[in-house]
Amino acid sequence: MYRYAIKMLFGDSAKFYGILLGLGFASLLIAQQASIFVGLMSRTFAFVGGVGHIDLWVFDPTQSFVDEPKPLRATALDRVRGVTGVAWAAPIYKGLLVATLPDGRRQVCNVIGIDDDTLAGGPAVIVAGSLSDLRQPDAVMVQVESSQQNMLFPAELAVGAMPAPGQVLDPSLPKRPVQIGDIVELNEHRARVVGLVKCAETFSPGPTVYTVYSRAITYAPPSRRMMSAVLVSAAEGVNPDALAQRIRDETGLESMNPWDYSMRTLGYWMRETGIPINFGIAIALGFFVGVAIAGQMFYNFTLDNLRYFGAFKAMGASSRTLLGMVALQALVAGVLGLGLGLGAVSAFGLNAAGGKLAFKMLWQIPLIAAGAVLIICIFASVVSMWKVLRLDPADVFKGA
Amino acid sequence: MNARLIVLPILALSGFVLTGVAVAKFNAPPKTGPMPISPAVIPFPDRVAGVGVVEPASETILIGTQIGGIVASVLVKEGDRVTKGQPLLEIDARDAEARLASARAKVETAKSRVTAAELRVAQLVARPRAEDLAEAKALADAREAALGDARGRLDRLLKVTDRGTTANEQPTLEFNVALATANLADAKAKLARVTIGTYPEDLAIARSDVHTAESELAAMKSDLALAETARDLLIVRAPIDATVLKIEARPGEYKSAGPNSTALMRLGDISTLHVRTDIDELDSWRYDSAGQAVASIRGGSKLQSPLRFVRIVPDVAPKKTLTGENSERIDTRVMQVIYAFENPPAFMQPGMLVDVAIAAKPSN
Amino acid sequence: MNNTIEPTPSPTTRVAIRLRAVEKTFGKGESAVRALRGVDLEVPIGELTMLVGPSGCGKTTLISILAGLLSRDRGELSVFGQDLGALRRDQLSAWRRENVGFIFQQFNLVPQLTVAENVSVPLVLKGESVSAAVKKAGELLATLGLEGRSKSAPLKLSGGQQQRVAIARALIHEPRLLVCDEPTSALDAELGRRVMTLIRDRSHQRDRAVVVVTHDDRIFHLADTIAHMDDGLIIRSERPTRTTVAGHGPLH
Repeated sequence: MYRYAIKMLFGDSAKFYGILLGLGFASLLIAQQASIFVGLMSRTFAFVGGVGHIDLWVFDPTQSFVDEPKPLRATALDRVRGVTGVAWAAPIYKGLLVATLPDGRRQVCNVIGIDDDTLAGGPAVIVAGSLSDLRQPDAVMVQVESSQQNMLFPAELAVGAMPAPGQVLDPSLPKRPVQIGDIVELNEHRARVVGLVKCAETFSPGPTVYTVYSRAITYAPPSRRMMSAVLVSAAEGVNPDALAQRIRDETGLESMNPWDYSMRTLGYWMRETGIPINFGIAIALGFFVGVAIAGQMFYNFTLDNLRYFGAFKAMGASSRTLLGMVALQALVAGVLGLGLGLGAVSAFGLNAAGGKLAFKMLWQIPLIAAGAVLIICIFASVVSMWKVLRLDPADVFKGA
Repeated sequence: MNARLIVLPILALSGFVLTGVAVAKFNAPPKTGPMPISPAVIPFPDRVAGVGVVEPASETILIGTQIGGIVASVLVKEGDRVTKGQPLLEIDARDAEARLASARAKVETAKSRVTAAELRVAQLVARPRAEDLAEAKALADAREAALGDARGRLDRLLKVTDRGTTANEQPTLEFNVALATANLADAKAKLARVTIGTYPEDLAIARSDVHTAESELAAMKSDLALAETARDLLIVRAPIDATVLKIEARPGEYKSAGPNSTALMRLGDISTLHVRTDIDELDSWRYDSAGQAVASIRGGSKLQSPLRFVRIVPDVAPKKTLTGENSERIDTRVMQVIYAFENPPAFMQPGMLVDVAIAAKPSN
Repeated sequence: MNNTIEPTPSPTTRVAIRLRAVEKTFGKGESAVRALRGVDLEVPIGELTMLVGPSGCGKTTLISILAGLLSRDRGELSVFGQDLGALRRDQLSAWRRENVGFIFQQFNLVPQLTVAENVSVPLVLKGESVSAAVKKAGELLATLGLEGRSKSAPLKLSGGQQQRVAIARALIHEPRLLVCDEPTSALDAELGRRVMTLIRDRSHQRDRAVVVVTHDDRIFHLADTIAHMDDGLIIRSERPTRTTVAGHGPLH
């Protein structure tokens, strides 16, 4: 009978496509919105995740997310280095500085100062140049993606050239992307581009600019404290979490592994901004649209077939068989709709990945969409089953 | 319907496969940067750490000048080994030279004056001279002889009776005698004066003149010595045996004296290198001067050099520039500890930063 | 007519369905409708019994009860010796699967399934494999003059063909009781007569009890017994003379 149930489902094309559309659209909306939400939120801590090969972050205890600078005293680095179990520790600077381009346009940059010595915290991928070039005078590396959009140079200006004194470059002139050798002003300091890098998109606006720590703090406006955080590598055989506790105890600073710090940052944005609510509403809308369309369609489908179910019931089909048929129909429709919806989302996400669009499909998201579709199907089939169960077999005699 | 039974599940299946691809892609761990260049492992687990700046054992001597002026010539090069007292630099000396010449001339003049006064005294002391006496005596003798002649002529007249012819000659002869007598008295007086020679008052005056001239000479001589010192101060000399670390003066620059002046050059004894290490006061209770210490060389060399304790600077001060940044702003107090390199790497130079780790008491 | 193919010789075996003072009331209180008010009926094995009467007289209620689709409120009911009131719901379903074939007024053929698949449903419900059941259905359809139509969609057939498919579906599992609800009302006179004849022949062949609800007087002559109902009671039961009827003779 289950085979017949499937044939009944597939045979009713108008309703069947309606059901698939509803379920597919619901899973598409849910998965797509959830992926964009996750993508957007993971940008809040992408910088933490992008710093690899370290065990712990050490930062000010009042700092609730990575983009909020609460700099440390200069000796914090030495104090951390003095903690038993620390193999090495490196300072890192993170701040927003204004770059002035040769034609006078200004661009806020997310400046990262990595340790001169270890170069810990460097960019994920170096497209052009070498990380050790950062040790050259005035050297910076700029994020290639953003710099092709935000750090455009006048096309007429040769690489490495500066406008002649008194020469005014019209900002409306044709532009070219920044190249190695170009010179920008970072907070009134000369900075020479020695490399192009790729790094995770973050919440900070503008391109990310890498330089060494000692230079970053000369670029930065004068301040009593400069060190944004200390990166710690635990000695071999030392449990990072135990080490974090020791650093907390001995220095009074907060210390967390990258994952915990990411979650602390994420938690801040989740608590303090309306982003989760907005996306939650969109996801809920997807769910309810799915329930409305697919559930309604499925219910109509069952109603249409009620007289046949009634006939089957009269012929001795057990309630279990009938419910199984309805459930199977719901399940098949759900799986197909889910597959189509998720496929569309995945194609969209894979196509858009790497651009400005924040999209990150965690493995949980398809499961959540599947769960939502399952709930929709259960809802639709329960309503339909109720109708089927309540069906008085004697009704089949009353005619249509 | 058969087509639908096949196509839709295939579409859905490919949707799931695509989802699998997407999930695999988006769940990959984030790309991270290159492996950091990890520094050498610190050989003791319980330690305090600090940044140290390398300095000469003598500390760095900022050479100054006592007299401001234009730099005339620099006599050494950076890196030269100099001995104590060796001239390093000369400030323009033309003015001082002129003053020196003037002082020398004045000394010569004063010397001549002394000589003149002394000669005068000698002159006075040498009177009566024999020739003057002889001259006076000769005159007196001549005058006496003239008187005798006059008297003779008168006597002879008086003895002659024939007066007639001689009466009118007598007054003339008498006058001649009186004249000769007066002339003799004059000659005798002269002789007496010559015989006395120099009056004591005159001699005293002459001697006093000598003293005056000698005093003047002494004054001129000390002026000369001052001028010579002033000249010498324009030559800046090495205070100790040391190495020239940095020259901050070029010929033609004006360098002033005084507390706010900039150094002409930096000197230091680098036969032994010290490391001035800042330790956060919060870590000071754990610090143990007997603890082993190593300096880690920066730049990913993984080099370490053992250190020997020298002394603790007994003055906890606000943290000074240690990271080399001129705009560094500090709100931290640090204990400074001086260590010496046991065996510094050849490339180690004063001013370099090293990361110092010192074995310490365990923190609870 | 009373042959004894049934193995048990007891008197009840000659009677397929026995109802004594069966009552059925729908609803409660003021709005209660007494659909059956003490029905006595015996349907013999191997006979075709027609229930006739005006609309609302309780025919549908009666066949629902004797087919095991409805429970009675009061009275005795035994079908092939089985007291249906003693069966639980699931036992009742199983009993229907085994013993009852249905022919509906609107045929109730599932349009998404082929003719053979529709016919195979009772066998599939009994647990036979789809392929075997479809094969048997094809064979049965062939005997009903529908060879080559097994894979057609039901809606592409004529009304008579559809009803023959429905008959095939009712008979495929060899039920002992065939319940038909207005089987000819959707058909013209000639088709109705032929369909009814088919039903009668099939039942007589196999000693089936057949109960037909109808008010199509053109087929009355095909009945062994006609039970007239009115207002929840059987008011008259008659056995029409067979002399004028040969299954294809003129109607009167």
